[in-house]
Amino acid sequence: MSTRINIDPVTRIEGHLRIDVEVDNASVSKAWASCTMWRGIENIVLGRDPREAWLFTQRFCGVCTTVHAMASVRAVEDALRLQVPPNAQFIRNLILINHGLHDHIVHFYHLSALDWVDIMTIPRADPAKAASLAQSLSDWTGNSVKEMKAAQDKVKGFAGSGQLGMFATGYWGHPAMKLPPEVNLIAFAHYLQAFTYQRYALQVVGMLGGKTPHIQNLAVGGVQNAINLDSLATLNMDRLYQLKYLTDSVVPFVQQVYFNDACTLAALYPEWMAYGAGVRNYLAVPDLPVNAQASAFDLPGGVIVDGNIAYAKTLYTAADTEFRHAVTEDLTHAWYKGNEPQHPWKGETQPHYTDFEENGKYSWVKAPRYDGRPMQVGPLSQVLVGYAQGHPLTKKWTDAALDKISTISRRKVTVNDLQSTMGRHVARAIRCAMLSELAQKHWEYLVTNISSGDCAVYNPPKFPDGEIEGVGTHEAPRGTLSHWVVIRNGRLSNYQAVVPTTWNASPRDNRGAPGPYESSLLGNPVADSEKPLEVLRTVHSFDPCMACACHTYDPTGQPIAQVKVL
Amino acid sequence: MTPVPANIEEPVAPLLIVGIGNILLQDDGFGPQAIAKLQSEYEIGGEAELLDVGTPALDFVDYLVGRETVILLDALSSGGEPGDVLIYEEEQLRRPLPGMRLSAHQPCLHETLFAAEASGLRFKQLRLIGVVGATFEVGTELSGSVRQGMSSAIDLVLETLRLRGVRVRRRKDPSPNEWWNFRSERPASL
Repeated sequence: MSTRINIDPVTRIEGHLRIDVEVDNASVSKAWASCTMWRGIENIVLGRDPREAWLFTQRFCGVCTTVHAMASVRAVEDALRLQVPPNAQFIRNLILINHGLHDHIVHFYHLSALDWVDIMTIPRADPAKAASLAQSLSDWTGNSVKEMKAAQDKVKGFAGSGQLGMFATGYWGHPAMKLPPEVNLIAFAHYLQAFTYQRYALQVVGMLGGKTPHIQNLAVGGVQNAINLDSLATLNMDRLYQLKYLTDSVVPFVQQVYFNDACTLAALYPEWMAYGAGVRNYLAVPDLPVNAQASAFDLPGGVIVDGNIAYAKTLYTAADTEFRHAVTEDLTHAWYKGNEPQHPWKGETQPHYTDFEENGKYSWVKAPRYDGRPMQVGPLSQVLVGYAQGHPLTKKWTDAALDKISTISRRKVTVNDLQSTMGRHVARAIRCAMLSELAQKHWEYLVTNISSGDCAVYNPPKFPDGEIEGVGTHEAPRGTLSHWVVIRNGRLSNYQAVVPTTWNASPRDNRGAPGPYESSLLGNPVADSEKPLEVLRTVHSFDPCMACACHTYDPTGQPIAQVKVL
Repeated sequence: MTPVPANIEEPVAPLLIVGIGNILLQDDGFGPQAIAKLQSEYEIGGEAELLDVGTPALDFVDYLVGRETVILLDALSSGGEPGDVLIYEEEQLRRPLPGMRLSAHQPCLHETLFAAEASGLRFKQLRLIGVVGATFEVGTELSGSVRQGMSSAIDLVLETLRLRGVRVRRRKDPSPNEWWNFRSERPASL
């Protein structure tokens, strides 16, 4: 006898991920991922000047503003075959790197750690024991008894006042929560410290981008940052060193705290390296171009199919010819008209809503396919395609993670074990450690290039008559992002964004092949159907993002005042 | 912890007026549109900052650091008739809501306030001025009801600014900065 669980949060934010699972003998046997909000938001740029599309696309999502701005200008530049000056590449790269650092830190500590860390056990923890354990695992200077005691007092304060706030919805005391109180305390102390360090990373984005959350410095053809080392009003040496101080304070947090905590979590939850693999086809595009031609990159791209993680087919450029032709979107199970898979340049977004039909249409997310295959995207894909190609920076941090997990768990853990729910968290920490090194490296690139006397930041675009097509990619924190543009006589005539969550939250396709979320849930344990914590663990490991496009506040209480409009 | 130069955090204005919402979804864009209107029509003293944050997740907390007073402008999905202007104080905004955490990015206002508290932030005043929306389809046009509610909401903001002694002057020549309404007239081929 199977139990059907439907997780469809009814809260104030519109636009949701809904997960349906069937549970047989305490294990998931069938799963459906559905997005319940229509995302035809690309239509808003049709007919507009391609030079201003990025201002709109960075409003698609509230969390990933920067990435949609970047993919948009890159798409238009690709259509024009327009290069951007090296300074512009480095400034853009620094923005992307620091956005990534911020995003990964927040995801691990603030958005998913509490799936694993039972904070209600913290009042029982021994702060001295916690501090000494934390110090044995890392050189971080924020692991003192005092830090642990302060974090514990905070939890006691919340618990004592009955004001649990966002902790109120946690599954505390769930049988799948297994960490000792001291480890929970360490994680919570770092959870509090993480607020500061993610903010420093975001400050770098704001300093280069003009402001956050919506950066202002981009342009098709480069950036709008004026560079003059002697002028106060521009990007000068003081400003550049201020950036460096911020970065230099974030790097140790990532390498000594986040990276360690992710590895420790994996070592203490070994069973979660056996669940949640899902789709074993992996896609990542290269990113962080190191020259104007964008012919070399600091982060590698590639494609792995059928779980053969020893071999990745290299994607050499951000808009690789193979990539341009391989991507299609299937509409069989999505609430749109048409059944034939469409290439994004030919893509249409014509809604055709039915009810949730588990054998028919059931989601607003289209099903992207690569050569007809569903693909998993995100840090795990990034790490696996880099590792298979022997990319030195990927190898360095992946091997360090595997060693650390193996040492703590006293069990040999291999790169193959990363194909799992916990593996996605470890891969994100690996990627974040890589980004932390690259933050310093690209700062050096920028300063060296400026010091050589190059202050160029912009190449003006020229739009031809007739029709041109382009694709702009970015290997974003959640994975491969691509914006596809068609420009006719200098105006946008088609615009499609294939976002990371579309790949991962994809519904089934015309062959019935499920998407990564759906397939990763099969075989997941569910100890208590009323509290499907294990389902959340696997879904959260992908860092899902689809709830943020709309933000009305839905009050529960009476207002203190009402102003009548007459 | 890593030593950080003392002046690394840039000073922020003690009073923050913040617009929340998605500019691309009609009435959901009330907050950002109200910010743009305030910026274009008024000169406001430096003790107050006007900020359009869009639809943030937990990074919202970052903009609250160092503030004494925070006024949030946001669209409401319930609570009255379209166009009604309603005010909520911090204590009401903190009340727990039902529902389960599934999307990792669900955390918004409620969770933001909690995260602010967890990271040690306290405000003298935090208040939400909301306008009940009528339509949330793709587009940048506000509904008539929300446009009407907008002027009352802006009056409430101006009143708060004046009470706090912030200099407010109406601009003789408003400079519209509603980028979403601009249609460039530039020739396609430069």
